[in-house]
Amino acid sequence: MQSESEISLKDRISVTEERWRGLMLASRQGDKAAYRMLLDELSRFIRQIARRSAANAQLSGADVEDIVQETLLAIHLKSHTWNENELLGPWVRAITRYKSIDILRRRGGRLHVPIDDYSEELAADSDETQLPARDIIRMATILPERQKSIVVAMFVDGLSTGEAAARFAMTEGAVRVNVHRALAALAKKFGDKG
Amino acid sequence: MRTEDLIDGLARQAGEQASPVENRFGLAEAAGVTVAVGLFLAVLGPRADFADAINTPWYPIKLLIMGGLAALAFPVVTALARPGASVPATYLLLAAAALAAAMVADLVLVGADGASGRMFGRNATSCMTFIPIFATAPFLAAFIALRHGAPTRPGLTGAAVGLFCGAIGGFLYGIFCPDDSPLFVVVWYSLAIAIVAAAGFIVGRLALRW
Repeated sequence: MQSESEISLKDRISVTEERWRGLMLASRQGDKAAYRMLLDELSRFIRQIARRSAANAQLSGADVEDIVQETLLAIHLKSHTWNENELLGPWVRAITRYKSIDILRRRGGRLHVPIDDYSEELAADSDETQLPARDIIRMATILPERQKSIVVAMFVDGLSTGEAAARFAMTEGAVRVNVHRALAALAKKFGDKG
Repeated sequence: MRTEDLIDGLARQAGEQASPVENRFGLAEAAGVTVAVGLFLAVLGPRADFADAINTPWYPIKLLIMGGLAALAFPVVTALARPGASVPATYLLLAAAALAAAMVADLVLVGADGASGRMFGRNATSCMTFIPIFATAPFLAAFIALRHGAPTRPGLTGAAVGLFCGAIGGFLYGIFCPDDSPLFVVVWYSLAIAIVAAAGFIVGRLALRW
């Protein structure tokens, strides 16, 4: 016998799951509004998970946002690894867990640093954490010139794929390929640097 | 950048997902296994008494167990390449159970006399050499394809790749190998496959992070 609260929790999960599934399937067909809504909902879901692990590991709010951004980027780049026959929640959760562990491991060194010996470095650290999450655009300096301009145009100036194609005199397909390569390179950079 | 800006930017890329990782893995393995078969035919080929051997019980059983192990390991690899997917790993026990049953049948039907001779066989060294060699092309193909996946357990995924490719190598070498006793298979084939799986574990940890 299940209690009523368990049933309603299950119902809520399946309602969310159904909505996410619908949004993901629409996104796969190129529905940008659906994809935006999905990523927005997922970012809250991820943030919730990330806050919990961050609290355990004494990470800052900026670290939480790093986890959220890295996970969103991973979800975008690896969206083909979600299978329509499976639930989306566990897929997102597994990616979040993987990326969180990755970040925790990279930050690991400073978690165990005794405060007295390293007070200066810690002060510098906390300055850094006053900033919003690490800046993808700042990291974009590692990209080839063309990819960098396209990423800046689309992520900072807010151009659509079509507008970017017109600005850079490329086909939309070429813009997509460039953006995908740029994001993959940035995700890798995220992974290499701590 | 604020998370919202990232979401806006990503949302504009809707509909950009690549082909499913299991399709890529399947294609890569079709190529890798083809190369392995070509290598096998060029280097060894079926054993001289193939026509007779295929009518004995032990030769086909050996090949069925190796082929079965590869068939069961394939979906384990593709599931491990997808975050949060349920991994059908327990079916691998079927291959282990079949091998154990074959071992018992060997001891009962052929007898305990000469069991150690059957176990050490005639060609343990070439078994240990050729199984990893025939596993190599499927192994490389697998890691190229899986860079495209998202394995949350890279080491385990690599080990599963090694198991799959080791079984492919075992199947191919088994067509040539004159030692058919399950006692031989359980020791030497398993050892060779375990070596490939261990290599897969190491390569997985190094190459499958994302």
